[in-house]
Amino acid sequence: VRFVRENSLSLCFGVLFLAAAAGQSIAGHAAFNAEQTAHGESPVTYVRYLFSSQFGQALLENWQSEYLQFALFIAATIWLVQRGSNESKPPEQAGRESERRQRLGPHSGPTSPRFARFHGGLRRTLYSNSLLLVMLTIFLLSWFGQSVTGWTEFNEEQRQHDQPTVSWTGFVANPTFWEQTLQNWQSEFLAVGSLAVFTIYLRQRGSPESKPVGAAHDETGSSG
Amino acid sequence: MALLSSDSRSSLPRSPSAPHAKLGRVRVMFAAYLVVIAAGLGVYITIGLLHR
Repeated sequence: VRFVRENSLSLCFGVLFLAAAAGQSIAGHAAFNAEQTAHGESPVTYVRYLFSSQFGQALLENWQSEYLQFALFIAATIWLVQRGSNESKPPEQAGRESERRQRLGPHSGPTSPRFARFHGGLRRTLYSNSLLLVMLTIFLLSWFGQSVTGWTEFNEEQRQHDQPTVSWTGFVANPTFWEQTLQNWQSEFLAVGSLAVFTIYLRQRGSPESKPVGAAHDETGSSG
Repeated sequence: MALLSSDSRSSLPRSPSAPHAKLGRVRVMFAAYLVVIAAGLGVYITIGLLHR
């Protein structure tokens, strides 16, 4: 019970993810088989669909855009600010901040992570950027995954229409790949921008994504 | 704390009433997320590369 209470946020989103992915796979399987039947082809089993490029492409195309969104936001908020936004640092703190403020090296405490206590070096540099590096890696791998599964799908379609297949580089230069990619990016960028701007004037009592209800509109990054 | 930006008050000393409780099984959550992401990426990148 204590474990559930202390991890409710990640547990909730983990369960939501699994439920939504399961729903996507069930609906996707039904849609795929309807298409197969319409084309006079035999339907596939659920497990076969689960391990298909079509399902993989649909899954990873959304993953990449989400991880790009977070990676970009993590990086952008180091230097870029929005006065009055809860998602921004105060303008005077823009940048990578001092060692003291970041509790690095001599400014670290007994509870600081081991690599933060180092007085420099590669390991401290890697750890200092580990959140961005991991999010960026997941983004790049998802995007690559989207490209190879999308490529398989694209060539399958080409074969069905007696059209020539393309190489991987041919596919990533194809408008199909960029349409699939950019349709996801545009919505992420709009949502992030909206959150940054909306938190200037709008509030949600109790949420750390919002400033306190009574906070002034010109207070920047003041949630606690 | 804001969605992703660093907590602007993070340099303030922590209050004694908020001790650094041992995270314990919290690391299970961290590992579970990484495993699910790695599995998803591994499976579908492999499928994409093999089934071309």
